[in-house]
Amino acid sequence: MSLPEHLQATFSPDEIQFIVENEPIRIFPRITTRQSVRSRHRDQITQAKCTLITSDDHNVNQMVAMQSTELPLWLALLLKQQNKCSIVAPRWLTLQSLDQSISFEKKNSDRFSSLPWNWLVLAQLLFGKAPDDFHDPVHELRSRIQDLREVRQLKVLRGLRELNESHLQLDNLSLLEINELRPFIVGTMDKLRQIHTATNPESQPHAQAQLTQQDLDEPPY
Amino acid sequence: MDISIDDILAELDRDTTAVDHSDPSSHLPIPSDGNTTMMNSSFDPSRMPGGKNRLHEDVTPQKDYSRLMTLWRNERCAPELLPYPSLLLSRMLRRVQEQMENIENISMGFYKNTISGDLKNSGVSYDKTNEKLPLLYMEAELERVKFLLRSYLRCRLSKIDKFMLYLKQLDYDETNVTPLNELLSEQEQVYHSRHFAISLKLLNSSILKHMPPELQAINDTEGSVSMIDEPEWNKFVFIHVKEPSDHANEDPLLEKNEFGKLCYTVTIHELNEDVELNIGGIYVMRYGVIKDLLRNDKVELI
Repeated sequence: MSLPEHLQATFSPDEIQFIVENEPIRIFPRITTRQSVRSRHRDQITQAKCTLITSDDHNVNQMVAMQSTELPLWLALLLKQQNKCSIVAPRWLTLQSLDQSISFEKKNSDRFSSLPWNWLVLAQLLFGKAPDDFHDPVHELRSRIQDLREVRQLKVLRGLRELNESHLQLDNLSLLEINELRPFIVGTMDKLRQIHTATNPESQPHAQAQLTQQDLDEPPY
Repeated sequence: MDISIDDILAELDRDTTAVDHSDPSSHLPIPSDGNTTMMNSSFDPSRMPGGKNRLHEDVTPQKDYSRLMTLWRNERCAPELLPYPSLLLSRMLRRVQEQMENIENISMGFYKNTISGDLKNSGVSYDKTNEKLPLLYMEAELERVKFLLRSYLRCRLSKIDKFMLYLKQLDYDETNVTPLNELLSEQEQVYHSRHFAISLKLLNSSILKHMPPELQAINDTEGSVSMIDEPEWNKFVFIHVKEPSDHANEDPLLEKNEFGKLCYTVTIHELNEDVELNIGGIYVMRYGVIKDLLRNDKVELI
């Protein structure tokens, strides 16, 4: 079909990264793109202006070296690749706050700590592309992230016992974690639901009647 | 005695920004910029005319892009085909076109500049890579937008393939709320009808003509197995309950639970069960249950 089989029910990890790359991040530019008033007066060959169609181009054209500014992540990574900026790690990506999250995870066995929804992807991206921009040693950050991931995976595995035919609440689970669980959770819960509807024949026609009504009429609220 | 002056300060804040935008707080709740997707939902038609002229001020490339992002993610996860956002897509396509021309123009100008720079043999430090950078960003960005659009449309096409007979049946159905031309774009309608004709021809000439006449229909729903593939309405999906936009207290669906948190209450009819969806929470839910919340942009699929 027009969409490959493996993409039909879920996202690929690359697509998750694509989503995350649209988030803004703080950087220190190493170039100046803001044009001084003087050069504008003297009719020099001015730099081509950058006009973007997905994000605000104001920040890109007003960069001053070593004055922090916010850019979308993909742009920051492009700049970083050419050594034109350094990326400021987000506040949660420090040893201190990661340690806090880990201890929170260990204390509360029934819920996840409130890391941002893109923590895993963002950490991997920054470790890969901007390892020299961290204040803390990268290998320690890496091991903290790994710890967090394992603690959370354990909780997820424990949570899988709760799979049922009605619903599930998974607050603070990150996008990548959801994405790797999606085929399994959805598949299992769908089968459970089918078994449930099949074993309760009196509720089945009722449910179907509800559904067609919902399709045709106003919503029931 | 403490006097709370927050509302007075807010009033003052508004006045300073009211130069170019008319007062943003007073107008009717505008369903955020991707208006086209919710034309057919039950909640806004009466409010649309009031918000219409404001909408134009509200449209920015950034918002359009993030809206498209949400629509793409919803489309990828939802079991059914969602309505086609024609206005949003036409704006996006126009911008892509303009940006392509823009890049072309700039790159030609850039070519000229370097030549003149070489001719001058200028003593000023003239960094050529800095000159190229904006072009690089713009091209990279264009590729990203094009990828998003392509992936979105391909996803829709694969659903059109899958629900070919179901969509055909919707077309004949008079009682149907969303006419086919709102659900599909023009090109998608052409694709649908021609693809239908082609596959029908294939089936007819290879197998169906050898069948007895009462078994020749390809959309038989009376037999032991219904031939029309409907979307799986109760498929489980992951949802994220969005923060309500600025008009939170006007939303009739939103209520407070015993913990003082805002939530929507939905009912799973089959199990006779009420579920509270907290704002900001992530749930695995049946699609049929949250369909209306999705149409009204209260939740997004992830």
